[in-house]
Amino acid sequence: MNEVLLEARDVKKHFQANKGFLNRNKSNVKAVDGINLSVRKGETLGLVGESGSGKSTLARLLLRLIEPSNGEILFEGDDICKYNAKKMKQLRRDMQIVFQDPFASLNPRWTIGKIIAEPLLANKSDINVKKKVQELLDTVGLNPEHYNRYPHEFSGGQRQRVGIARAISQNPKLIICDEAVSALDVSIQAQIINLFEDLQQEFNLTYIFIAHDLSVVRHMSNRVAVMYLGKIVEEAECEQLYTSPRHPYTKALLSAIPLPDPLEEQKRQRIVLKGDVPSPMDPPKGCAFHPRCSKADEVCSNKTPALEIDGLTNHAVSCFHPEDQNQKKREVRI
Amino acid sequence: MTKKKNKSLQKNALGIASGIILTLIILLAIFGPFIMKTSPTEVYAENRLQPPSLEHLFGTDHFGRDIFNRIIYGARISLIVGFSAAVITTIVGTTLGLVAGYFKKVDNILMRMIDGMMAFPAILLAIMLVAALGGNLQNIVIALVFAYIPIMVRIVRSSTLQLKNMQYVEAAKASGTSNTTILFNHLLPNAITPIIVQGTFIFAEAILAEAALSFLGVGVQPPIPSWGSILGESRIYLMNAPWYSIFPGVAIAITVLSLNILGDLFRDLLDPHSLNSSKKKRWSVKMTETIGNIQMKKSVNKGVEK
Repeated sequence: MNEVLLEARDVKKHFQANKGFLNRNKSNVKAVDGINLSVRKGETLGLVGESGSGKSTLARLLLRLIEPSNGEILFEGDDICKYNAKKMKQLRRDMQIVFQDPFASLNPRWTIGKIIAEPLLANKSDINVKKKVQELLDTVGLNPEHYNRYPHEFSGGQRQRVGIARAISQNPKLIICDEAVSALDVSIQAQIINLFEDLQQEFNLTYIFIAHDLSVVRHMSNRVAVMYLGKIVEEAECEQLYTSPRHPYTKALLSAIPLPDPLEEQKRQRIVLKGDVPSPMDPPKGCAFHPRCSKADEVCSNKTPALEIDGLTNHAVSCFHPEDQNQKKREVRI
Repeated sequence: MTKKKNKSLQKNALGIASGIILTLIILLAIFGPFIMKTSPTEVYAENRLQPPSLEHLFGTDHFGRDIFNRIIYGARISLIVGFSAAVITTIVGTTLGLVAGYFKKVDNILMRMIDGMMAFPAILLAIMLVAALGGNLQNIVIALVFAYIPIMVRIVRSSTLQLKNMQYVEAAKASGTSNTTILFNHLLPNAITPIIVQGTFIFAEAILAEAALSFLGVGVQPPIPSWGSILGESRIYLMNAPWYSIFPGVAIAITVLSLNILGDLFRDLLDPHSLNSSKKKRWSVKMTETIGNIQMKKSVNKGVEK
């Protein structure tokens, strides 16, 4: 459980944005700005943050679908950014991704048998592909006889199962779920989440679970990292983060979760953040969160806080004025 | 039956009719010359400018040659030019478009060249090339390919640009699928609809362009007949012998119209939602189904009339 499977060291991705044809001032969109992250074998790391915080870019960087501008990505201790095409292709067996949109992630002109077999065919394995695909269909709870059907003949949940079957077809070690349940109905979400959990037990998978639904992340994850404007602002064991958040941003996020009990819900006090997420093209000086933070003072607008880990609890937070850990334990019930 | 369904049925019926007409024209072009008794280039001075009769179905021209005969020979030239120009343009244009859309570095260089070619009007470019290369069949095809390739490349490129950001392409990359496979197995099948439709339109356009070139006298050289050259020769006799101009004109119009309608039909048939898992249900079946539907509709209508 303690062995590190994937580690990101100071990973950055800056996209160049030209302001115009004549205006040659080039500005960078700092989509991912210096992320340190490690995922241990067999655990589920939740990654939350609002839209535009760089979660999906980070996912693509970790899989090296896009090249990082800076930093190292270590998979089982090896820096994969230095891999050549051939080595990278072998590595692709070990890491897979499940996408958000079950409609866009399957080629409409391929049968689902072919879609699921794609990773197998790309690596020219000797096994009986058709038999393997039918096993996979069975594993994810689809009828193996649907082998020759096209994606448009399936519902969203079924399509997502196809996407999952494709991801697990080569027994990967790591699966990144990029908002894998966000596009589904709540009842279907539950089914897919259960499928993820079953598969984790069966194949000893490691997940990086990206979502903006905090309840789902709490249910799935062992540890949770909160992202804001391309940076991780807080990272902790799941229960700890939800019960005693230390970063004001995390607090605000958690206060937005509606409670199922109507009486409790009436008492719930939402921390409403001022304004919008600043543009990653022109992030605020100092702590990126300070223009929206209630606790911000001079220090916050001048200095950038580092992500500091509390050795005892493994609770990391990047804030000059973190909430005290034991001061008051706010129970956020979901 | 809903209005929408009626409309699509009507469209399919039109498409099938065009298909049948085109097949007939192609069959005539292939086998017609074997059936014809006389040569299309032989001169019969005594038969000059005869109006249509049983002997000369479409009348005769100023050299006494049978126009029906010449149109059938001309169909060969027109169709060969149109077909080869369309096929070559489609294959080359698709490949270039896919590569340009997918690889950013190639894109800039290739697209500036294409923009340069687009700056010339297609027909002028073709005239220029034919004038430079000489007016034989091969050169006309080459000239037309050059004239129509920019549009094809642009269309395929824009589809590719849109498709390459789809998540299934990303999934393919994450699976370690090679770029060639992504290009030809993921992107091409999804971009095939505009390609086929555009290909059909280029077929039609090329027939028109060949006619225009021959009309202007830079195309197929006399006495070899092509639809355009027959039209070109006929224009001085327009007042005294209208049939001389009408029949080749009608031949061009019907062929081009059929091709355009067929292009529309392809667009409908190639919609991925018409793909079906039961492999038996393919185009042929769909066609017969539609014909069956039309017949049913007719019989229903007859029933109503009674």
